[in-house]
Amino acid sequence: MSLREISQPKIYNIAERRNFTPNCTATDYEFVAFNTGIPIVIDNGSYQCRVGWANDVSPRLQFDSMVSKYRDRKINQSVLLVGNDIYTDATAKSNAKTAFDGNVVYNFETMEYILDYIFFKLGINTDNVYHPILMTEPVCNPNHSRRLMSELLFEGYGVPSVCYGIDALFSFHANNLSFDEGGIVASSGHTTTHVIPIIGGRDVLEHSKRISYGGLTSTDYMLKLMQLKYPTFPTKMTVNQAQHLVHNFTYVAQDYFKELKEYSNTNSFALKDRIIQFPYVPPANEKTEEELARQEERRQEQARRLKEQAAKLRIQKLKDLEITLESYVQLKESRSSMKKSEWIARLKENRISDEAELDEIILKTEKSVQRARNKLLGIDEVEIKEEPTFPLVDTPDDQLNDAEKKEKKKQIAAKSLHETRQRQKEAKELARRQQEEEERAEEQRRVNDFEGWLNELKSSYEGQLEKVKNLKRKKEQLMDRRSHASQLRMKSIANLASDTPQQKRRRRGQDEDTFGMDDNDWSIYKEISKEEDAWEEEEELTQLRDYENKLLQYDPAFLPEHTFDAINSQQNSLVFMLTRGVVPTYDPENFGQMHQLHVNIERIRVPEALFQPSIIGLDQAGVVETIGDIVNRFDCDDQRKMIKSMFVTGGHTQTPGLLPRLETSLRSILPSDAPLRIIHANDPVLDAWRGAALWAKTEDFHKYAVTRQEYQEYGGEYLKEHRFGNVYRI
Amino acid sequence: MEIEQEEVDSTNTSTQMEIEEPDNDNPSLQMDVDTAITFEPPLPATSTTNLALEETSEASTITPTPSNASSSSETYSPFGSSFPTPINLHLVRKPFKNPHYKTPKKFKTLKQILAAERNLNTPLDVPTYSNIEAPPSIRPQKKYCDITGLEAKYTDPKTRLRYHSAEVYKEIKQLAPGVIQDYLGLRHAAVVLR
Repeated sequence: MSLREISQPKIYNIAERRNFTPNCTATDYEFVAFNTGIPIVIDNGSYQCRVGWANDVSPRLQFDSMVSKYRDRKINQSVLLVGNDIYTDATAKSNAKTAFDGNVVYNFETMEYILDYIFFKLGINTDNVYHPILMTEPVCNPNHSRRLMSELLFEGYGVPSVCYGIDALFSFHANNLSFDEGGIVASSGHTTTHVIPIIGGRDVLEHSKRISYGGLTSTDYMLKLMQLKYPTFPTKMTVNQAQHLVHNFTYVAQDYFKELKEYSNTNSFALKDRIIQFPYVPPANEKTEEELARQEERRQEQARRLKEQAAKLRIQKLKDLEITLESYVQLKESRSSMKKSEWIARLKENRISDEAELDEIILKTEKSVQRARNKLLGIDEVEIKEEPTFPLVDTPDDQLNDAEKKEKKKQIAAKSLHETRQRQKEAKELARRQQEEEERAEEQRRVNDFEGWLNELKSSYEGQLEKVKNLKRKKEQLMDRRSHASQLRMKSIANLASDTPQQKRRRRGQDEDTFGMDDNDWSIYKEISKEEDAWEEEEELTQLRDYENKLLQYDPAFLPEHTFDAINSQQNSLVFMLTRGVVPTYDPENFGQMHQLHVNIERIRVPEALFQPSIIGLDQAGVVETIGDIVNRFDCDDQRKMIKSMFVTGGHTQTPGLLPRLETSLRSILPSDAPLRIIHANDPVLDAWRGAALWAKTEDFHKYAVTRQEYQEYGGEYLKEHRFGNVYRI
Repeated sequence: MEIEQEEVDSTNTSTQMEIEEPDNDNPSLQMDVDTAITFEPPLPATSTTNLALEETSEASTITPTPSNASSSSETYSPFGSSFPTPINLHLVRKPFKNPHYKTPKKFKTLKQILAAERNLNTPLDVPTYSNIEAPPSIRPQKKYCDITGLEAKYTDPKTRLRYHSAEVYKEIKQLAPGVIQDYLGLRHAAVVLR
């Protein structure tokens, strides 16, 4: 699939984590279990708790191991919600607490609430819980935790007997794998991953290992990665959303380096990139097409109206001008009919001093009338400017009277102004002609000697590029305090500020400070000022772009992507591709795109941490290395037995691609003839409970359970060792 | 007596909100689907046992989907006809609980528990929680770029960030110090002042 075909990639919506329906309360207790002594099987996990009667096929209760205690302001009551009930209320969700620290129970108040909930939901209505309890505990559970748990069960609920086991081993049992045959169990849960060998009918805990990586760690990591990748993302990402990403979009790469290369390659990137859309509200003032069209129309209407108005005004003005012209002409003609003094008085009324002025005014108004008429008719007129004359300038002073002297001054000023204007015009003309000459010369050279001209152009381009880069480097150096440029600057500042400045040239005999006599001295202030000389940079950049344009035009090898702008453009960088994807191209204005995430490399990076915990900074060996290490501790026969039944279980192992990767990696470290067989649990999530329920129905369970009497004699830490359980030590 | 209980669907996979199915290859991946969960208050005629069921005020805002537990009319439906509602455990009667039992209020964190265990001097061949932690890896550590996640051949001496290429280095130079420490914190390499 080429890039062009994926013009519309699939966009996935982010979803909050699933909300379970809360569990129903059982009403069949008397019918099912009353007075029967059926064991209750509790798979107490840090993620979920699964509970059921021993003879159930599947656990009746499956809920998140969370408790929420808060005070409801509205009804003024303290509320305690357990399990999936907490998702029904937002305050409850924010107050959620778990009984676990890592994979060990430490908060027994929370544990008590969970047990209350369990027994309540099972419908138990007797005054004590008259059923033996089979509960799971972590590998090598600290005695302290077990003691408190036993205390809680025996004292708080009056159970007759309690037994503890390891969930991964129960899962092994549930999948019909025999302990006597041996095997090795890799269980990846919410907080940790365990590798437990099974030899000689029991678990060999002395050689088991724990890696501190699980579902919770991977969710955390994904969340942090996304937050760093999109620091300006408009909405906050929650843990639940990160979990959704991890559950649905991550996979284990078969060959990590090869996959990484595929991601960095633009062509294959688009196939593997995933676009996640977060919900957003489009801004209210987005206009539809109709609205835009309507606006356009309105604007055009207005323009037309304005034009009409302007035309009307012009006509009006023309008429006015004509009327005034008429009146002036009349005035002039009336001279002949009136006496001179009267006429002069009339002129004075119209603020005209004498006849000459009247003539001028008439001339001017005639001209404007002419111009207005031309405009109306749309005729372009050619203005013929006459050379203004300065008759009085040349006559010497003594020949003039006062009024004429004033005239003369005026005329001198006017003449000099006129002359400077002439000079400027000529200078401009000259410059323009010079430039034309240059361009023509260059054209000639280009036509005659294309190669040479091109090479010259290239070298001047490179020189210019160097200049721009140097400017940048200088700017950067000044930023760094320890650079040479910065230190020189410091020296100059210190010199200027000191009382005994070092002179540039050694002055023999003179101690005066002659700073400032030479104009170039002042340029030192320009050098020490840290302000960026943006103007200079701009100039250089425009010159550079000039060269680039010419090169683009004439040099076939110089493509747009080689220009300075393209190389520095953010859009082409690798980091941009990873954050904003390739297709469709990112538009900063598009609101939908602003709320989009791209998961690409995180898809493989997060699950890879199980194989290389150093990615997260954990100082532990990866799961493959650990398995290899453990296997090597046993002798040959045991090794073969273990490798034949390599069992993988736990909710976190549902990541796609995990098993094939385990297989390939393990084959590479084991001897070539090893009979490696990797078995995935039928139901990685629920098999632990099922195995426990299976075992609870046997005689073995009753043999190994710790009775109430034994608890009272030996204390809460007491434990009878059995194949599924921990080792007891004092 | 063995009564075959049907599997209770406590995780309803009913229709979902607008979500596209992610294209994962492994079919064994369980789809954790989103359900728009709504709750109705329970019907007044509920055949429950003598347990007192209290409704909280939340019940009015949410409605449940009925759990499809019973298949045939012969098998006794274990849950009656009551719909599950969120239950405030404070208000519920717990006959099975010992009324004189006092809940411990102070808890040791895992760190404290492990510290106490360390002082016990158990013999070295007995596995303990701290014992079975996986040891550091013998293999040389593969280094990945902190910004992009690709292979990192270089390290910036000033910030100690690992990077993939000169392009990424340009990005690094423009980062603020807080962000740099965040990146380092991703792999526990940040400077921690306590």
